[in-house]
Amino acid sequence: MGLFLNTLVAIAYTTVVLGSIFAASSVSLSLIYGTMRFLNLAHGSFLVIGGYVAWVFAHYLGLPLYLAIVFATGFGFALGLFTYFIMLKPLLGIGSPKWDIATIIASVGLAIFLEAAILLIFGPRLKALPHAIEGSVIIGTTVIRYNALFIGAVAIAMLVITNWYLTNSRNGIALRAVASDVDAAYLMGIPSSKMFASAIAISGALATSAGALLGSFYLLKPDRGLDPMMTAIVVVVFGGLGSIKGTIIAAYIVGFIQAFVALTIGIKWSLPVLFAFMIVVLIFRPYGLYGESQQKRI
Amino acid sequence: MSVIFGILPFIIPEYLLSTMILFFVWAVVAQSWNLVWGIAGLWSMGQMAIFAMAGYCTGWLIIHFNLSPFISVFFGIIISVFASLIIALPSIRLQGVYVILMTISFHEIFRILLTNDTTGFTGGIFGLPMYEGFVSDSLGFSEKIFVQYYIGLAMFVFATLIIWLVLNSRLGLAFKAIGLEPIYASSRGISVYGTQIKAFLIGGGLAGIAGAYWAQYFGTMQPAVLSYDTMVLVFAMMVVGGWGTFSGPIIGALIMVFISEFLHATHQYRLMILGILIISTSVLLPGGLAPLINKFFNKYFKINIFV
Repeated sequence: MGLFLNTLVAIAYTTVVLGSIFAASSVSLSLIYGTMRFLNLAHGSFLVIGGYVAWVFAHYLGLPLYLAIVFATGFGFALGLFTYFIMLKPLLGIGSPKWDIATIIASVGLAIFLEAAILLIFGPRLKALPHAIEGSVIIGTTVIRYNALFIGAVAIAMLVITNWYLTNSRNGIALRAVASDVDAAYLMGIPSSKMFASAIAISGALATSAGALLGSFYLLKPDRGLDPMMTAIVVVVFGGLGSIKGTIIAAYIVGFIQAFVALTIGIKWSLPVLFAFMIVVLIFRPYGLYGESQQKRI
Repeated sequence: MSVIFGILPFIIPEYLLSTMILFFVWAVVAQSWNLVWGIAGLWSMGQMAIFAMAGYCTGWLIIHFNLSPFISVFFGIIISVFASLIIALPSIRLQGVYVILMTISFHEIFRILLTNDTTGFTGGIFGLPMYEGFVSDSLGFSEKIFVQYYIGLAMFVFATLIIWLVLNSRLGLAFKAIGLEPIYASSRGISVYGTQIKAFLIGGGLAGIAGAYWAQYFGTMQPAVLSYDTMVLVFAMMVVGGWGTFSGPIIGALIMVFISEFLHATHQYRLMILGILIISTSVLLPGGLAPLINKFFNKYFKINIFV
C-alpha cells in the first residue's frame, strides 16, 4: 500500500477512536457550561482521576477493564456531586461577573488539588490499564489494536446513552430545559439547584469514564490532564458552547485535525495548530457550529 | 485616599531580598492584569504571554545583537506593547469567556512554540543562554541583589504610580465604565473598542516592563515562565487580593509570594494546600481580600485606604 493510503488508514483509525473519546470528554464540559455557565477547568484532572481510579480497580481488584470503567464512572458521579457541594452551591446566586470568575478560579484550585493528590498517591511513573481484548490487525503499516476499537465502541455507547438520557428521561429533559432558559424552567417547576447538581454529577461521570478510556488508549501519567482539557475546550468552542450535537460533530472534526497534523507534520504541532484553529473559529464564528446566539456582543 | 507606600527600603535579611524582588515583579504583573480584567472587564489571560514576550525579546536582543541591556529592555517593552496589540485586536470583538479562550490560545501557542523549538532560536525548553543584565556580573552576589532590589523597587513604584494615575484619570473612568456597563458607556460617547485597546496596551506595557526586568534580573528566559502553574499563581494574586480594586493585586502578590515561599517547606503537600487555599478563597471571598480589609479598616479606624 502506498504511503498516502497508509496515512489515510492511520488517520481514519485515530479519528474514529480518539474522536469518540474526545466527544465524550467534551460533552461533559459542554453539558456543564450549557447548564450553569461554569467553565470547569478541573475537567482535565477529572479525566486523569478517571484513569487512575479505573487503574486501581483493574490493578488491585483484578477487575476486567469494562468493570473498572464502570466504577470509574461511578466515582466521577460522586466527584461531580462533591464539586457541587464544595464550590457551586455556596456561590449560587452571586451574580454574573463574580460567578464566572469565582467558579473558574475555584475549579483551577480544585484541579491543582486533585492533580497534586494523584501525584502523591500514585507516584510519577507511568501506569498502564489492562486491555479488554488482546491482539490487533495490521492494515498496511497501521497497527489497529482491538482494544482501541473496543474503547471507541465504549465511547460511542456512552454518547448514545447520554443522548438518549437527555432526550427521553424526565431528568434529562429537565436538564435541557435548564440549559435553555433557567428562569422559564424554574417557572415550570424545575428546581434549578437540583438540576445543577445533577448536571455536574453526570458531567463528572462522563469525564472520568472518558479519562479511563483515554488512559486505556495511551498510558496513565499524573500531569496528563492539561492537554486533553485544552482539546476539549477547543472542541466545545468549535461545536458551540452548550450544544451537545455540535460538540459531538466538532469532536470528530477536531480529532481528524489532530490526527492529520500528528501524522503528517508531526505530533508536537498538533496542539498549536489546534489553538490557531480555535483563534480562527473565535474570530469568524465565535458561537461555533451550533451554538446559541447569546446577546454577548456589543 | 492614601497611596500605599508599601515597601520602604530598609535593611532586611538577604534571602528575603530575592523574595521581595519576586514580589515586585509579580505585583506589577498582577496590577496590569487587574487593570485589564478587574477594571476594564476584559477577561484576558494573555498577560503572562506578554510578560514572557518582553522578557524573551530583551534577552534575545542582548544575546544576538550584543545590545546593552538598557537598550534591549527598552525594545523588549516596545515589542511587548505590539504583542498586546496583536492579542487585543481579535479579542475586543468577543466577550466574557470567549476572551479567556482566545487569549489562552495565544498563550498556549507561544508556550508550545517555545518549548518545542529545537532550532536554537529561542533555546527551547532550557531557555536562553545566560547573559548579563543591568548589573554587571563582576559584582558579588550580595551587591548584585542589593542593586537589583532597588531597581525592582523603582519599577514597582513606577508601575503602581502609573496605575494610580490611570485609575484616577478620565481614561480610568472610561475603563471602569466599559467594565461595568459597556452598553451604557457606549451610549454616553465612550468608544468601547478604542478604550478596550487602550486597556490592553497599557496593561501589556506594564507586564512588558516586568518581563524585561525579569529578563535582566535572571539573566535567562525559560518557557517555564509560561507554565500553567505560574499563570495560575499570578492570576490568583489578582483574585485573592481583590480584582477591581486598586491595592488588591498588591496585597494578593504579597500574600501569594510569601505563601509560595512558605509552602516550599511542606514539599509535596505544597500544591495541595495551594489548591485548597485557592478554592476556599474564591468560594468564601469571591471579591477578594481587599474589600474585606477595607471594610475592617473603615469600621475601626475610619480610614478609607483602598480605591
